[in-house]
Amino acid sequence: MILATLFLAAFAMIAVLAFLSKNIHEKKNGFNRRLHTVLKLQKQITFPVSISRIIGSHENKLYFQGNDPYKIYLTDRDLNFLKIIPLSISPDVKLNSGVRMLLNGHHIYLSCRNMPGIIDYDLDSGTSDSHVLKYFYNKEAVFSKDQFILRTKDLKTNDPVFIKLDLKNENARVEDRFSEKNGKGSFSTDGILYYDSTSHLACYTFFYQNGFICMDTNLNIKLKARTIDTVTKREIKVARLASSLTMKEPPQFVNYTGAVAGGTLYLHSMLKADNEYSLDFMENTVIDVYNLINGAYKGSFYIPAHKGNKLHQLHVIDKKLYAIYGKSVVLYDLNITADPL
Amino acid sequence: MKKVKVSLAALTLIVAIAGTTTANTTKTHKNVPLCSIVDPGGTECLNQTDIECCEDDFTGEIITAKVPIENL
Repeated sequence: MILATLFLAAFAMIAVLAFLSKNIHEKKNGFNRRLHTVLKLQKQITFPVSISRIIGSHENKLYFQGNDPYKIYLTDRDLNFLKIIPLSISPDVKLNSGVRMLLNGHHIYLSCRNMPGIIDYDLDSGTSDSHVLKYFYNKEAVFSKDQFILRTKDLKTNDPVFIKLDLKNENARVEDRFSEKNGKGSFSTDGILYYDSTSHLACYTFFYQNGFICMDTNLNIKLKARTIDTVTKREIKVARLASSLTMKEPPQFVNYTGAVAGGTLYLHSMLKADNEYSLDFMENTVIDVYNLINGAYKGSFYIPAHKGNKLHQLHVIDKKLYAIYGKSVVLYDLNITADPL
Repeated sequence: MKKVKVSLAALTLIVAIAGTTTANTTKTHKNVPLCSIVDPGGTECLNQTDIECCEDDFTGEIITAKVPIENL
């Protein structure tokens, strides 16, 4: 009798745990999405290596960064061909990691965060010019020839700030006047910096908190907008290990990657809306669309998985969306949405 | 004697349940990749994602997470 009671109690405990687990997965996040459609694959191209990002577009050409800092990949906006372009840059062990390539006209800038510095590579002449910086930075966006906005540390308080950099005058350092200086470090406000050449705004989206901000190229704040989720801020616990700072536990994301084009922000949300099916949210990448001028939410759509993988980067040019899935890049047409986004 | 045996059986059962739960929780945490500064291997950091993972307190150098977000 006692044994049977104990067994029943054990099963009851397991049932309670299973019930609680189910409840965690179906937790309501307190917001709804206006879902428009699931994008349909228009064309795809397979590269010989995994693509890490789209560098940019110039004169109907589309440039991609792979896993080698000494070569780039070229195709056109309709993904009709594939060409490998070697970059004549002096080998440097510092280029083996932390390199992000950016495009402005016929210049490719290799942002070497761990150098720290920026290499200006002229695609027409095949020559390069290296600019070593005196400080480390962690985000970058190019807005004009040799002109950048970087996210780095305030020299006095160590808080993250945005600065304007001109490669022709590397020592001049103009800081923004809106970044909060609260001594909390950079992890909690980590995110992605973009530049939209249509609105001429540099925008920054956050990984662990609601909203995004936009500034002009003189670092004046132009917009502080909310995203549709209701998460004000995730708590990021920081740990110290020797002379390094790191996160105590894996952080919970609110928004992740995104793209800007034509005055619009396309933002990959990591939170399920209350009016979405769990399976749809898990199998697709949900993109929320916002106006960069007034911050208005314009709707959402799904980007489907490709060959079982979800995308890890996206890029929008005009009304074409390019999604990177490892070695594959897929082109989707954004014009097919009933309500143009 | 019988009561002692029953108590031992119950104790074993509870320990087994608690052990399984703890093991699953630990497994979840162990699957999280560390960034290169705190990784004893230290040499395989791709540093290609945009997620900040470690920061050198002295120089301000930032190391980003090793893997794409879908693997976190």
